[in-house]
Amino acid sequence: MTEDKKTKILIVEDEAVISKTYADELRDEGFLVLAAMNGKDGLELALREKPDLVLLDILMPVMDGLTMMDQLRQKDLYGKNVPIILLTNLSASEENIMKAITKNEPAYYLVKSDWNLSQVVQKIRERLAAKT
Amino acid sequence: MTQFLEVKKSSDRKELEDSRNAILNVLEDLHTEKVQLAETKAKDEAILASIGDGMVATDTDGKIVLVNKMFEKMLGWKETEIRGKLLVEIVPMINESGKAIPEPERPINTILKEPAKATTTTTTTTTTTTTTTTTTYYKRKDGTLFPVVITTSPILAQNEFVGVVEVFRDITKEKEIDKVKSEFISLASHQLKTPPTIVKLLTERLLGGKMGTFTKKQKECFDDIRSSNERMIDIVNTLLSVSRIELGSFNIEVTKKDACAIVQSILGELKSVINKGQLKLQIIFGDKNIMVMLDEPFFRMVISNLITNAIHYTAKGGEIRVLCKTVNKGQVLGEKLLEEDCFVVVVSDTGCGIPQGDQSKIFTKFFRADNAREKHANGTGLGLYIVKSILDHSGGSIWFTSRERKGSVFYVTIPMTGMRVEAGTKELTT
Repeated sequence: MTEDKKTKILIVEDEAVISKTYADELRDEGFLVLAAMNGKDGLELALREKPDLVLLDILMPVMDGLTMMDQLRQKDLYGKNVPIILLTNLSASEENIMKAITKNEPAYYLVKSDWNLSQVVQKIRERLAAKT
Repeated sequence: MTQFLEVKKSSDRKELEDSRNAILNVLEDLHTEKVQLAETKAKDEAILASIGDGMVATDTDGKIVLVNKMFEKMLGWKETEIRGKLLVEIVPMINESGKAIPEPERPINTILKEPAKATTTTTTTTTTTTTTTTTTYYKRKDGTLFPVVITTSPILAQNEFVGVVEVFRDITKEKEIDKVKSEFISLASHQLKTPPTIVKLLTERLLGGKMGTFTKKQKECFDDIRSSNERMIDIVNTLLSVSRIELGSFNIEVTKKDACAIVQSILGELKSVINKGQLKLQIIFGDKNIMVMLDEPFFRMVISNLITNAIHYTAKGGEIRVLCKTVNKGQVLGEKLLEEDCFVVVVSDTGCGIPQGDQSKIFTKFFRADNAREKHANGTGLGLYIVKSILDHSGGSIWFTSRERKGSVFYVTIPMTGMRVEAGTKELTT
């Protein structure tokens, strides 16, 4: 747990209960959690706080997740390299998710309804380990 | 003598008259034929002009010899401007990524390259016909694009290859309808899955022990909520799969995969369920590293469904056998003669079997045999329907042999040439 103390995760998710539940679990696991309700706020927060990983929903008001990912990747070196996990209930080919992932590496895709909280946490750790 | 001359004159006159009549008859016949030809020509032209699809005919060099009115209307070219020019130069073909399809890959050139294939009939009709299966676009004279389905065929006259005819249809409307269908499913998928996702996450938090401990009874309740919710997610996924099948909006995209490794990984995922049911598992891989062009998610769905069924319908202590191998064309598999080289997965069990009277219905949507209901009450009756639909759409096949109370054997074949790519709009699950 302690090794994750300073690891900052940004959750960008418009469904408040989902966002809160992921945040609670991640805090319990020792992460520092930031949250935004749409892509626009998420982008600002990401550029300001520079989290170690972004957990990103796709269908959101104001700015969707794929647009946020595109814009973040184009902003600066941090934005280009921060790992992003798209966490959505859309299927892989919807909204050209797979194309967006290939274009915006390091980016990954998980289906929310198929993954337990503990599995998501495990994936986050794997991605963070791959980054270092 | 005078009498003789009279007779001669009379005979000459008759001959002349006969000749004149014959000539008149020939002229009349010629006129009739000319009129008929003109009528036929006018009729042919009217037919060509009335065809709702664009049509262009080329000679054996691919140069345009004829186009119909719809071609002119759809592409903005007049026949007089383009006659004698190469079709591939006049009408560029663009793929979905916006790139021009190279000339050798154009359907017309496939036929022009191998006209020998086109000389198998004795009439003026066509034989080898190619139809585009992925979305392609034609570029108009003004540079704008529109999506088309193109059917290209050789023209044979008296058994001789004389050119190519291409018929194309503007599918802009169909594309729009597909988009609406996909958006509906996409939205349904998202909206229907969000509430059970929330329940899933919250029950996991509650059961994780980080929010305090529960009594045994309370924990049992939360376990029941969790498993019912998982069923709800499965049902939503299954119903979405069925919707996609019925709306024809799913995509089969293939990549070269080690088919046995995928089957092995599915068995690994199901290991705990197999152990829980105290079932014996026998895995036989006839060959190793069988590389097949597969759409992995669809292939997984097919195999996973069949193995899960075997688990559900086999009593404790029973046996499940999974066999993977290649079978050559002409060999018999499960009482069926294979018409091409195939990768084969055979899933057999010693379970309850399918009653004879129900066997013709098991691939029907929502159908469940009575003994299946008894053994596994939670099934939806959609699994085998989805499996069959996937295989039907991808060039594979499935059949079975079964005896009640003895067990079932399901055979799945995928051609060694791979699953057939099908352009829909969406992935089948999730």
